[in-house]
Amino acid sequence: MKKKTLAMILAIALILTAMLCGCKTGATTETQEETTAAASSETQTEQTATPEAIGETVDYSQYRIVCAAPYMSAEFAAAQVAAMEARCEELGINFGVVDADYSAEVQTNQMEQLIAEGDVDAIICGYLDEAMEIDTIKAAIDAGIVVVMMGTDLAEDVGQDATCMPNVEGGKIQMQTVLDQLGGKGNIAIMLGPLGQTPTVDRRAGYEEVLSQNPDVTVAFEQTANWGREEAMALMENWLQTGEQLDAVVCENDEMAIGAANVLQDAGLTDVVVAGLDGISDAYSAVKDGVLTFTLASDATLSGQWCVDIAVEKIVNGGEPIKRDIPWTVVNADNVDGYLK
Amino acid sequence: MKNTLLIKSKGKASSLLSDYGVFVSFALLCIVISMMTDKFFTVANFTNIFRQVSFNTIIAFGMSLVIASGGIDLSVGAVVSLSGIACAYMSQNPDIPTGAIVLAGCAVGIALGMVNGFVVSVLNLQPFIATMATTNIFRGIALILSGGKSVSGLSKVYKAIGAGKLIGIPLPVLFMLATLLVVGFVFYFTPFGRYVLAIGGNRMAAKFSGVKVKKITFLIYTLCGLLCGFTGVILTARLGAGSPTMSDGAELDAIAAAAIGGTNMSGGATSMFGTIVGALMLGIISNGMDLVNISPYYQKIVKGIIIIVAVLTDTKNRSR
Repeated sequence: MKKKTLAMILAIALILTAMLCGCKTGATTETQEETTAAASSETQTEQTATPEAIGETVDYSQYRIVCAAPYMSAEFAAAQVAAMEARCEELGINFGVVDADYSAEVQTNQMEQLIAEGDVDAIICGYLDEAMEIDTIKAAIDAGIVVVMMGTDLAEDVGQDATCMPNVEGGKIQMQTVLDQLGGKGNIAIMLGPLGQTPTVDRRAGYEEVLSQNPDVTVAFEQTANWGREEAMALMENWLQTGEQLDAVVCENDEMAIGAANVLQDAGLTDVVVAGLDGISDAYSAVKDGVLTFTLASDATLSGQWCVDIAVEKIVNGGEPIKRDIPWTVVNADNVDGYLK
Repeated sequence: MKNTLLIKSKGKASSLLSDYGVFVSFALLCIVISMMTDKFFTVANFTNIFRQVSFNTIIAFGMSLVIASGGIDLSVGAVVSLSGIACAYMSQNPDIPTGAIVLAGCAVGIALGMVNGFVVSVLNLQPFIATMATTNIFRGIALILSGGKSVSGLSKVYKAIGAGKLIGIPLPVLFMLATLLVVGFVFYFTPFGRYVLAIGGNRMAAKFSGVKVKKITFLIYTLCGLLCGFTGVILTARLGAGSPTMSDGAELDAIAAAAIGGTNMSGGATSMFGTIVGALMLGIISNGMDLVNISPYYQKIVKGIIIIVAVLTDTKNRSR
């Protein structure tokens, strides 16, 4: 009886693995095609990258770069990794990914494993908890591995390189764009990400900087909707019930902005300014449809590409840590067509 | 109305409180919020609350049955998400009729529920571990199918399932009530309901009394899957997109609704009406706090305290 059960489990596992492998190859090729297309259109944007130039003298196939991704389930991180993969393939670099799935502890183990493997030249790391992981990152750098932070730099400098998504700056640009549309006065609501998370805190700090210079703006509500569309819809509905007249709803990410915008649309309040931040593809469609007023796009593809380029430059030439800020672009009805696929 | 195998506690007052405790705390909560804001007790606001809780309520019906049978289903959110993604992809094709999309979403739910049922009842794994494992598998498949992105571009007709109204009542609310009728009938008026409680009350005793424990357990998880699949259908229509991260943490809300509603966490007792009130209570807590504009930091604390108080009034869930 036991043997039978065991055999059954093994058979299921085998079938599932086969199925998953099949699906995965399909999915990856698809994303690769997408990103390569995106990458080629990106190449003209101020590329100080030298890999092509270096490439004439160096054989890239000897290098191995691994991305320690924080979570592959988020669209932005997935797009970054897809861009890295495409870039590495273009250059002929051996590329791999490990996913920590939101756990700093898992990521620490993965990084230690990569250090132990001994043949990794660079780790592109999207860290989850600086305090928990800083020692491991230090250990990697001490072992001669180039560590490039993807999107968010560490507060402490231990010799890491980084592409940075300037969250405070993003918050400032987003709030300033909203206030420009409102003429510097009005009644607004703010939707926050999960309380205590770095992007939540930093983007909020950017808002504060702008708000402190605009005394005519009142913040009627400020609540978290935990990055989620469903929670944002409920929150927006509840706010509308209070009867408060809002001129704008500023959301710390796009998912929440889409949720809030849909509720306002249903309620017939189409003149309320709704602002998102991140630049996910759904937000572009919402801007195109006139539901969402604008979003800030941080270029995931560019970020992924730069991570690889910085890694290559450091592996070959060494030198001082390289930090590059990913620029934000306001995407509104005027320029959204360039972002729709 | 309560279908319970537990021996009723003696004394009328205590029995009343144990049976209707959740209704009492629910009424109290409503009164307190009404005193704090006049925006709360309005038709429009209650329409909102009912729509907001309808998704969690349908999931919680399934969760209540699973828990009442002595199990647990941690995969509910993942099933919702996978069903939602399937519906979203189908809705992108204008040639597929909306009815077929709804059926397909439910079918996905049934299939995934059967996987859970198979692992729990045939392979005999602990429900907690089994559904924790299937959660990973289902979420993984959802991520692969969607490429990690939201799947949008749904047809207008399909979106109407989530956004539409009939005689002023949002459709999701009507779906929730229809589900209550069906699940309530099955639970209260067919032998199935008694089998569920018998298995949860004492598995061995149920087996020796001739209840087909394995078959019923399999059916319970399948039913829970169907309810989650159906939730996926309407939630996706409501959100305008299916997403691999959708309903992340939904299992906790469903478990909370079941617990507040008087479902015994170790099995043997539940009430569909209690569950609906439990879900409503959770919805009213966050709605009320948003209306009164309580700082987000304090909201979590208040929510936790209210849940403890609500469950305290229900004697069956006190640790004995």
